[in-house]
Amino acid sequence: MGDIVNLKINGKDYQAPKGKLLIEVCLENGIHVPNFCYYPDLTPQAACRMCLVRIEKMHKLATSCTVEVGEGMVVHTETEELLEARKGMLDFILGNHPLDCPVCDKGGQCELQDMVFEHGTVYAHYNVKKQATPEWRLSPFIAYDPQRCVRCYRCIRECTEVMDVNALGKIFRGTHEVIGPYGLGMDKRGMDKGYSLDCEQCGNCVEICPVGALLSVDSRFRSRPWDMKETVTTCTHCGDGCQINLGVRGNDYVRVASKDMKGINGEFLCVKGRYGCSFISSQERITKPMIRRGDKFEEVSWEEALRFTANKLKEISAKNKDSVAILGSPRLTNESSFTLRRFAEKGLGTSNFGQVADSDWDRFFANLTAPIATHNQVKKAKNILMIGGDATENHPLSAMVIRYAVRKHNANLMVVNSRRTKIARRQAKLFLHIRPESEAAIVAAIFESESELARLADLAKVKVEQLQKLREKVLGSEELTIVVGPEVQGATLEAVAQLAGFLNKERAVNYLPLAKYNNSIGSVDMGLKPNGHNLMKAFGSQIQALYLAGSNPVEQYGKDWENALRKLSFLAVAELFMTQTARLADVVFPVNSFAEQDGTFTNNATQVQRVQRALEGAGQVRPDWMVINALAREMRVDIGAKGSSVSIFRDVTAELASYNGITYERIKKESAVQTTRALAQTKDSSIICKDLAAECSKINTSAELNKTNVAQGEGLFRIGTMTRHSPVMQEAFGESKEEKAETVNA
Amino acid sequence: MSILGEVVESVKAIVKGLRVTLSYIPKEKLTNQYPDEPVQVFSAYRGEHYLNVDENGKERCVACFLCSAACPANAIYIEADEDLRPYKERFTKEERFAKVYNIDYGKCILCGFCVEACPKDAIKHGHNFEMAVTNFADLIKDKTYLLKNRERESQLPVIIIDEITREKYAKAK
Repeated sequence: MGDIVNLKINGKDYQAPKGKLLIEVCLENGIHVPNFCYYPDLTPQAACRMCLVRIEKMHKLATSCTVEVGEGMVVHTETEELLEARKGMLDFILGNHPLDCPVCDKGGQCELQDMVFEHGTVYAHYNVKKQATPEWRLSPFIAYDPQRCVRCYRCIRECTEVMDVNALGKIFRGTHEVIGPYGLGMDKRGMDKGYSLDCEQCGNCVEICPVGALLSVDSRFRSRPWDMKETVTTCTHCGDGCQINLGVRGNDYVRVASKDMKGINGEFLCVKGRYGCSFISSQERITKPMIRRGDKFEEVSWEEALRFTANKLKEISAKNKDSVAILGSPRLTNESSFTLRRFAEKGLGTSNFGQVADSDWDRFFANLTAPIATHNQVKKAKNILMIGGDATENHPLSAMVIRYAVRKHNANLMVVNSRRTKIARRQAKLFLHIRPESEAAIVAAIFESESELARLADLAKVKVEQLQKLREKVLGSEELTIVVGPEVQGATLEAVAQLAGFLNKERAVNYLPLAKYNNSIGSVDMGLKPNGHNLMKAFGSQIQALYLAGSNPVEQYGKDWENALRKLSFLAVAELFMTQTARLADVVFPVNSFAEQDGTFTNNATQVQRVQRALEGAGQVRPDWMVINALAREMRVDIGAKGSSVSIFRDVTAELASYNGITYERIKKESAVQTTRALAQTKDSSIICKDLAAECSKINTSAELNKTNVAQGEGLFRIGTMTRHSPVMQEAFGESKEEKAETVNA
Repeated sequence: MSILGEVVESVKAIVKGLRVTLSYIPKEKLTNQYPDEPVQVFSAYRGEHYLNVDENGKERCVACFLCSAACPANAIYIEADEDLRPYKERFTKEERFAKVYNIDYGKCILCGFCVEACPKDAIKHGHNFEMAVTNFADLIKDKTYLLKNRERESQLPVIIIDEITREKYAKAK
């Protein structure tokens, strides 16, 4: 990493790589340099001038956030002169900053407050009248108070560089300058006129704002930083598994924050993670077990509900063990999924168990020939091949790390997708816009000989030159990160997993699967195969009873599932809300949400992360695994039940080789622990080619290219089973009240 | 010793023994005949709190949570809310206000930290000390009660001693 230079800071000798910013060297070595506008990984701005330092032989004070370290540099960071200069800068900032800390939500974790406190008495020398400006709701999620703003432009740079959204910009000049929707122009058009910010609503600008200028509307006035209990836990809205700081006051959700977090995502979060978690405190949660009596549900005690279910299951499985099915969900914790499988195998002895999901990650991992990349590794990737998947909409963290790789060291990003996704439009060096569901042809083009290219290009409806280029790049690159989306399935997915082996083991190839749900990969690891759709066909015939945990297939997959579920003679559902699926059930068990239980999730980089109990469950809710344990006890079967999530996880690590050596303590220490997976044997390419040819023959060659761009928010703003119950999400993107009533009561 | 001598000696002893008591008889009386007479308290007496209002009768509290943070007994519970109506229409001084403001006098130790912490002069100590109730639930006083406490000040069975009388009092002592 380049040369090392020697420099002297405050009389002590330090070494640092050449070209590194001085402020970074200082902060890394524990030398405190106050700053507002510096933020790691953003381009230097030098707007706040708080990080002034004295560098010898320079005629003026220098801003350490823009100076690169050089050989023999002598730096002073704590002299009288600097203190005076910084105080002067604070004076400028306080010239127009209102003293409304008591009503400001940032109060208590405000960088300006800290700075003023640190620098002692700072008098506002300016007696000019402050420009009082009304607060401005930039969007349903974000409020902006121009008077509090210190013009550090962190938000604008975050929006432009990290998010690649370009929604924020500067409006007006000089003392009238405000932050606002980009391109608003030089009049006050749009101000105070409702919502005008056209962006992903990620709220990262709110998180990195050093003062209370940008604030979340969601948690407005709800609590104070010192007044709430904050728990580090894992977000459940996608497979990336960002670490979130869940703030709870009393027993109510307050906010999700990511300030100063050290997890896989740093301070990055998306709209769902930041604003979509309030469903945990929804009043619509089921709080008591219910049994169907006629058309209505009756609230009963746990004992009664368990006894009723146990008797039914016993009765039905007495005739034929396989007539009882257990279906989990990719949303459950590893502990719950593991207990579900144990119950199915040991308790019921049925072979019909799995999960409701439409992906083939089990087949992917069975054929895996290279390790999985963590998000941090993707940040450093040089060549990225992305087959399918819309990371921007469905996996915001993965999208962020890919953008990072492209932005920071110009990574060669190749995208193969049937939709014009944002990453394909804006970051990709090479974009193959293929026919819907024709990924197999592109994958085949890498395995097959060159002579086949023309035929395969025609099959996927891409240009031969483009396909040729992709093939050359993939075969020729020394390092390659393969990102594979959820629409790639079956033999194509197996072939992608085999690609690394085919490319020769010498090269550094790794994978990043974009699994749809928070624990898609963990639940597959725990042994719940994604075979729900196959089992569904047997409902009413071979399968008579079903225990369904944490899934809402009726809403997701529609009428087919509803009809199938109606055919069953007994259906038990464990859910958070009265979903359309739960409405068909004979027994409904209320279960804990992720915020009310301990457990682990495995994210799409196969890292195991913790969820922690942040608040008490409402009413009589229990974790999924506890319901299963109680059910097994009621049925008088021994499934080796364990009484805590820790001991269940110990069983998991003992049974599964890839989870070996992972403990709760280790996860606590390292935040995310990656599982080590055994790599599969590389298959002969002729076998793979044959499988791919079969897949290729399924391609509908009459299908036209989908030429519409993926609209912003197609996935991010989609209201689902959980986000429906988050008031602010519902207000912003949701169905109208009638529509909601329709979906919920249907 | 003669009988007379003994009488003289015992009278002497009684006077000696009662000297302090007797010396107080001509002095001003300190004892209050509470509840027949009002009690004298200093103006800085830390009695039951009241919530202050501004000159137009709007609540001053902005629910900044500083009082509850300062409270060593954890006796104050607040829930904040916002009222976006203009000043004239709303009943609070600022947009942010306390929707719920409870003080639990079962916990409160009347230390005055909350009053010191308040940046808006919204919470003050009144002079009421008659806070006895017959059940625990009544110890928790809500916002409406605390706001009315200010009006009740004038009806309290207390005489508030201001600075001048305080000096006089000190001299008399």
